[in-house]
Amino acid sequence: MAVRNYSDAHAEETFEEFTARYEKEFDNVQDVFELQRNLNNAFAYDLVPSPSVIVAALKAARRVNDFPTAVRIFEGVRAKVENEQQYSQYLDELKDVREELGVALLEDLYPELVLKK
Amino acid sequence: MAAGALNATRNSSSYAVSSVQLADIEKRWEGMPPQEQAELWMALRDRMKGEWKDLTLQEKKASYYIAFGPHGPRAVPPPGEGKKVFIYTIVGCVVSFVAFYGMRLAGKGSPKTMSKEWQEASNELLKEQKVEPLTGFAAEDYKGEGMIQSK
Repeated sequence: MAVRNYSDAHAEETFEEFTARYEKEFDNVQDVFELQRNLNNAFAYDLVPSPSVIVAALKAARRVNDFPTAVRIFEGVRAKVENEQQYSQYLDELKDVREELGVALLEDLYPELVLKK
Repeated sequence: MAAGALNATRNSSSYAVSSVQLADIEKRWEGMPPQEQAELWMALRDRMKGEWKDLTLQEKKASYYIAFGPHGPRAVPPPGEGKKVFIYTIVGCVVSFVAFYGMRLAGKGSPKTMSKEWQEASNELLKEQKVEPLTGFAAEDYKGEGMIQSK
């Protein structure tokens, strides 16, 4: 039986390629608009960006001095993961960079605004 | 030059934005004049240029609220909105029900032609005058109701 490869010209991007692409994007971010645009894009996929992408995003937020967006990144992770457990795994993984940069969590700032899972 | 630069950084981030300015920002922000909003945001932006660990909790909360708080395009619907919509829908239905049956009550009954007797008499007349003799009322094998519609 013939196999139709209609979209053969566009290879599926692997998770590793995605990670590398967005790490690079966030490393090149120079202003708040670019940061937020890349965040919107990175969080629009059917996957949770790997911790290394989140670190790059947090560093980009630090570089453009945007504290609220750094808080928002963790909100994004929380919205994308499947359950609380995965979220706390992300938090554990990112604990060092979070403490280094002094990024607060929405849970600490406005617990009432945290989305219910 | 160096002193000037030092001063500039000091002015930009050394001192926390006063807590009076940030008190109850969640309630005041939307009502603040744009000029004041801009000044407060600029002050917070300058503070964010320094170490984030040095920000006071109030500054963190205020900067988050101003950037992503539930106001402007992120405003949440006022409490009890669903209830209000439901109640007004019910009120509308009741008003239209009353209006419709009120008018029916004030109006006359059905016309005299809407009785079985009248319609049977109409059928007689149609047959007598041989209306539609091949397929209709006056045909020999006609089985339809004719004009009868009132029971």
